[in-house]
Amino acid sequence: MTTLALRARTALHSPRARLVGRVLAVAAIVWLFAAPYLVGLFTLILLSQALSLGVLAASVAVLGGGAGLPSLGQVAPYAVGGYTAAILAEHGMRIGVVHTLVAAAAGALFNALTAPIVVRTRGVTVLMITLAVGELVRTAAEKWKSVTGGTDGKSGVPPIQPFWGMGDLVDDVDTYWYVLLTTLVVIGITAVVLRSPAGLLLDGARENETRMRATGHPVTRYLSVTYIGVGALAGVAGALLISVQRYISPAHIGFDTSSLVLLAVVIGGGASLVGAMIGAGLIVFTRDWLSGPWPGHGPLLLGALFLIAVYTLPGGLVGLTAGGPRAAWRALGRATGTPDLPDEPADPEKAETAEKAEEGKAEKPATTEQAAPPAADPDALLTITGLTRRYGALAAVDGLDLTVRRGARHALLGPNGAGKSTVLGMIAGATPVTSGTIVFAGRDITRLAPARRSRIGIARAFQQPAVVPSLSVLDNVALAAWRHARITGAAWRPVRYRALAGEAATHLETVGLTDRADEIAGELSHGSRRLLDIAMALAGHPTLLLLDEPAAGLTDTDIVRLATVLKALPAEVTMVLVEHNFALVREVTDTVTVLASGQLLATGTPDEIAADQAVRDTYLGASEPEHQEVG
Amino acid sequence: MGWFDDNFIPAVDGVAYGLLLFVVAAGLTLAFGSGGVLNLAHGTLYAFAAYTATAVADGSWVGLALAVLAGIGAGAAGGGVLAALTAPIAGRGHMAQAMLTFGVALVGGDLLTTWFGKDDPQVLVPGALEKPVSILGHNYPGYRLAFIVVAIVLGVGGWYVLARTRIGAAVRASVDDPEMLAAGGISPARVRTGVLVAAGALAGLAGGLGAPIIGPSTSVANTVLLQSLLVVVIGGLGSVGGALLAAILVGEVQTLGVTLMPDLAPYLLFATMAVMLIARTARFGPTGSRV
Repeated sequence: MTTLALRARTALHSPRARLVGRVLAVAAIVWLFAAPYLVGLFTLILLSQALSLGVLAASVAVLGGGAGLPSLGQVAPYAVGGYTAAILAEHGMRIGVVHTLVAAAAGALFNALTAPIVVRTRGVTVLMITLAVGELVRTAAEKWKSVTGGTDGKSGVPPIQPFWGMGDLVDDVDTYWYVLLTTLVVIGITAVVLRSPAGLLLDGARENETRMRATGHPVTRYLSVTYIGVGALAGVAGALLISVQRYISPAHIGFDTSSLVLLAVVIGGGASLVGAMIGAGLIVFTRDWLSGPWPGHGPLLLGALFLIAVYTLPGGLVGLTAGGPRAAWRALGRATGTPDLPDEPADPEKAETAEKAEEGKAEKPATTEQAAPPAADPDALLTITGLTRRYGALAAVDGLDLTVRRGARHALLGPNGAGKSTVLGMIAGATPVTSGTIVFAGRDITRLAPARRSRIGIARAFQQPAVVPSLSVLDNVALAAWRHARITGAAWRPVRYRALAGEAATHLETVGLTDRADEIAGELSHGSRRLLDIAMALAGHPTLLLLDEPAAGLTDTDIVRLATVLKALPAEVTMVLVEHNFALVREVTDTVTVLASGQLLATGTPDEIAADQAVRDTYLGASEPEHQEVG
Repeated sequence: MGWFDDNFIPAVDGVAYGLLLFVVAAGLTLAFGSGGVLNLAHGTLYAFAAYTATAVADGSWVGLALAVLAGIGAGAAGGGVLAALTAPIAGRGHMAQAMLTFGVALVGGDLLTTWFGKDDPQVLVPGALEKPVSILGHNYPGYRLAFIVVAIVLGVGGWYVLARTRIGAAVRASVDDPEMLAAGGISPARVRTGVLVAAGALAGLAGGLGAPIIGPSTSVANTVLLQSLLVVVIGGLGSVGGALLAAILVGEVQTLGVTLMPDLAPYLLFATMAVMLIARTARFGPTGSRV
């Protein structure tokens, strides 16, 4: 199991990606350390500026490429950090370390205040909101003269001392060292956090939020924490700006800076920290180099660079849209000629197990009793009373009463539009309930959020398989097990991840995907993706497993495997299955409830239902004869 | 009555300002909703039209008409350029296109200062419109009053086109589901170009008519972009009625708010946006789609 986990880990950070990223980072760091001996004073000052801007760009990269919240407003915590440092210095506190820490805290605090708004939005709406936040802070800096100095800004900030007992930073070379070391420390910390297993949480939140919520992850909290964290990062960048130029004004925190930083990230490519730093460097130097022959046209050049970057660096934008830098590396890996493995044919061994399981099926308790009236049944795991969901005038589900026994294999049948998926959605918490109650294990969960329901044991497989496309198969299941595994330890500890991956591997074994643990989820066939989706549901150790048309779109071979998996479910897992394939329903369930127009039509064993005249008329009628044959 | 007397003029001004923003925001919504482009160069289109109109206007009535037409033409041409620039990357999602328009905004802003200079030009309007008009015992600039009337006429006309004509139905359909429209035999690329040109023309119309109200300057592009974005966010993406209310609200905050609470006005807009977002997302979950 451990070897498997390790293997997946290397798939996540492929050796090539690691190598290129590290070589680039190490080369950059070596060069930065050698710079004071290689380049002139003026270049060194530019380098200091580039480092400060680079930290800001890194914060935008983490937010955009990591959490999927592309921001034009990180200048706000940057400004807060910068003004805080300037004010500290004016009041006699000139210790650089204190500046850095206080500015980080101020930036984080600012973002904590705006987080409730920003994390409510996604995609380009984030651009709009953050743009407004940035402008707000710039306006405040202009108007609040007593604190910020108005449009003139804070000039003549006294030089800082890096640490107690050290001299003033007046020499540009000394300043450079201070900026370089501070930058390395904060970027290093950020990189460690991002590369730890906790980074997977951001990948999941960015790429498949619904799935993350359905497996118990509080996505909004993750996004808030990230947003506050990058506020600290931007705050440090602001403090560094003060130490470099000892001056800050509203001109430094406007639209231009936002665009510079975003451009750096676009060039650097999504979530890549090194990329963002290098992008910032390129911009600072290009701007300076071009301002000589062509003064006063900064925006023109910047805009032109933007256009060039957007057209020529689609890979750079990948991180801001979908896939992330890892996908970009993988695309690179494919382009450089790693042969794709052909899809393996169905494992003969698995087919055998399927047959064996079929034989064992007869042992299952065959229940013939009708579902008892709600609330009276002590065996009931799930009791639905008067459940209704209206869409305008249409009642998709209309006053449904349903009881699911503990350990039942319960199928929901019905023609299209009968409200089956809506019922599942309401049990899982994804669809709001108009009226009625859902009681699960003696607890009213009608108003509980999806993530909470997942944590009390309701798991869901989606009608469209919901996976995190850029992660490996194993990582997907590890993410799904994250909130459920009885493993202690901090989220970013590799030890904990290995334990999780070990557990995830057992779920993959259950669904027969062990051979494909290292593959990228987005590249799986539909059938395999379906099985992965089910493995992710199982990873939640569910008491109640909700399956929405798992057989839809599957090949016959895949359906056989699916039936095997469903029949092998532990006895304590209760299953609610929505399915059109009556052969499968007969094979894996013991109770069938038929819905029509959002109301209950009949409940009984599969055989009773197959014989029921009312059911035949509405559903199994002449329109779908193949169901009768297989049934 | 004292309070009312003191604040009557700013309040009317707010309506004029708000209606102007509404025209701009309508273009922004159209480009995003139907064309899939979050146009961060929309304010630049406004500025371009306002500069052009100012250059054309010579204080005569004919000059005014030509200026408005020139503004519309400038905006539409800008929209066409944007459509051409974004066409090759239309398949790469909202974000890439938003980035591209951001670049266009920067380049465009620089070109505008190069062509029209850094000074804020004064717009010449016909003498009859320069005279203050007396309403309820207050003197009010004639042009702004005329603008309010024109904007209301335009608004009603626009509503008629949208709600009652075939073209309006096609536009509404393309906002709801561009792919469906394509399946109905209407070329999405052509719709896209048409929509972006129309959105540019709306910005141009606003710039041409609004130059005497929000005049051309080096900062006008950002101001107009930001405030129309706020209108769209506060009003709710895709809601025309919401956008109108939000535009009036933003206009009032910019005028009445500045008179009543000069220190708080800049934050008032932000607070409004925050409240609206929280109120809306509390019911419907996170807004905006992942792209």
